[in-house]
Amino acid sequence: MEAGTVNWNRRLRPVALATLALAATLMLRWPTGLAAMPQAQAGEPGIRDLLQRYSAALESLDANAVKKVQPSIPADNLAKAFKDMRELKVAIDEVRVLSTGGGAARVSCRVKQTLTPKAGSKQTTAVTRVMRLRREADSWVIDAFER
Amino acid sequence: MRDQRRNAVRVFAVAGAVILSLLFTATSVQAQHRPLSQVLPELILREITLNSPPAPPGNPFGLPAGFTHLAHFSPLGANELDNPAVGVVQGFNGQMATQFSTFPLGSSSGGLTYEFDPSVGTLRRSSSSFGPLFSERALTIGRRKLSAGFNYQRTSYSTFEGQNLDDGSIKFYLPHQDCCTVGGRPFMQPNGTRLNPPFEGDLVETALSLKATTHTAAVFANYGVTNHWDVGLAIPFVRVNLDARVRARVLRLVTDARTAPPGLFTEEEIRTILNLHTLELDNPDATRTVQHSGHAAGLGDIVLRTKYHFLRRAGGGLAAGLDLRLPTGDENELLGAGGVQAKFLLIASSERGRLGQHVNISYTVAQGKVGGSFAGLASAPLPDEINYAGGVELVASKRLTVIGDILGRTLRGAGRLDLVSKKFEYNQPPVPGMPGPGCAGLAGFTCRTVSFDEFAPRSGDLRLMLGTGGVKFNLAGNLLVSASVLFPLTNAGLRSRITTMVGVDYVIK
Repeated sequence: MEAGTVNWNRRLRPVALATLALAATLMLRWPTGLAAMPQAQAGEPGIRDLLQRYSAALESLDANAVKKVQPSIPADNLAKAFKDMRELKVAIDEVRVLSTGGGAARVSCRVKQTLTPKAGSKQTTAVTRVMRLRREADSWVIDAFER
Repeated sequence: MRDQRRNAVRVFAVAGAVILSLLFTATSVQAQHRPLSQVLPELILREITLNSPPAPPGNPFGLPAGFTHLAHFSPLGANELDNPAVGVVQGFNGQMATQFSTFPLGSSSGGLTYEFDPSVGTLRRSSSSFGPLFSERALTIGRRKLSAGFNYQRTSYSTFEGQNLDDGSIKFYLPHQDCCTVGGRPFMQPNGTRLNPPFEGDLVETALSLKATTHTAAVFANYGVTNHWDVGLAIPFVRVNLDARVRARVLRLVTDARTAPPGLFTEEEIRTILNLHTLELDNPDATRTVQHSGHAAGLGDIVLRTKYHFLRRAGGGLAAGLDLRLPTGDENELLGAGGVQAKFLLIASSERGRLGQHVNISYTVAQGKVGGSFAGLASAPLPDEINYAGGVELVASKRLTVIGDILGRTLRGAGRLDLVSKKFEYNQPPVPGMPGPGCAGLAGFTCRTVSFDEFAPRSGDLRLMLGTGGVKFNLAGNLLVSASVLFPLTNAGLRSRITTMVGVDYVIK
């Protein structure tokens, strides 16, 4: 009977070791995911604030205001586009933070714009865009658009 | 949105009214219907008949009783299709028909288009300019965008190869029917410059006065299949008004018996000789005018269009296009070209500041025959064309673009008609003291020559060039109104007066 018990333990040992190894692996990985989530959740209000500032800057038809939010934008080209506009309404929704970390983030959102031009009728467009953000001081700015 | 639709409905109601008025407004004179492409050949080559009396029995010239010269200067009446005058009139008529039916139509370049520009993250006008009037630019209208509109243009024609059309300057010379041989051999030269028979070698001079006007109302639509690919069509409704008069007179080279030495002929013989070739009995200097006024109205040649913008640059780039012109217009009524034309275009355009530029180079492959055939003669093939256009667009304000263009066409192998001094040989009747020899050594006559200016056909390309100037104005919303003039820059072929064009273009969605 003892012998049988010993044999049984021998059989269980690899399973136990494997279980321990898996648990250890999960234990090692789990803290990283847990760490990331709070960061993203902490960054989201900042990102939402950035998107609000971006839509407000577009609506102001002020290329310099947009440049503060998106420093890389070709402001001259944007200013030319604004010259043809009488009014621009911008709504951003379906915001999804794709990744964040290391002072950078990737965000997907839908940008809906309704343009009242100086020549022509109202034009509406809705485009899903993916933007790369970076943290500058205590706020986010748009680094670039991936699409 | 509702206002936009209402405006669109108004625009197309006006277009419909213009088209209907074109099609159904009656002209003042139309005695009998004759296809417009047949008017000139019929007037010049058939209807100029003499009023000579039938020869009485036992006449001094040995003519059979009842013989008359009635149709002897009427090549179609006499079924003399190898008469050189037939070739001249055929060339003239063919060129008229070709140029009437292939006059340029205005283009629809999707003037007011906006596109999303990812580089600036917002919508922007594809171009500050509203685009050219009679040529194309590389920009396309944009995916799922639809524009429609219509143009109305009026064209009247003033000259042909530098000769006034409406004052009788253009003359055709009809020789007597080559009824006879002299000495058992043909006497007339192949080009008709030696008049035959020697004793009847007069000419009939016909002076053409032609007033020709075309009104074209074209409805067009343009749809963006993708952001880079447009398809479209233009449906023209055409009305052609033609008022032709031909004034004829007999040039008495050999039958002016009044100049014969006294005593050579009796009074009765002089009268008889003068009445051989006369347009009015006992009035040897009479003239005769035949005329025809008519109109035709209906569908012109429908054009299917497509354009692909394959290289995008700010405000332009490069595009390739195809215009397929279908033979839906009646070529015999000068409403259509008489064949299929496929025009392959390469379009380049750009924009810098307030100035846009565009260049179009194209080749048109044609298959078919132009209208204007008569008496069973084959009409000319519809010529291939090399087309080019270039111009500038000045953005005067957000709502106004001023456009200037040059349009060039080379109608390959269409032939030319040159005004040349044509020398005719004729045999003066025997006059004592003025011995021969006659032309070609004909005994008993004296060879004389006389020269007249007349068109002579020659092979080659016909090169035409037009200038255009106009404006496009954004009246309200997506509605563009355009007005322009087209003016010829060369004297070649059929030259129009200033053509006026007005149009509207509406981006529906």
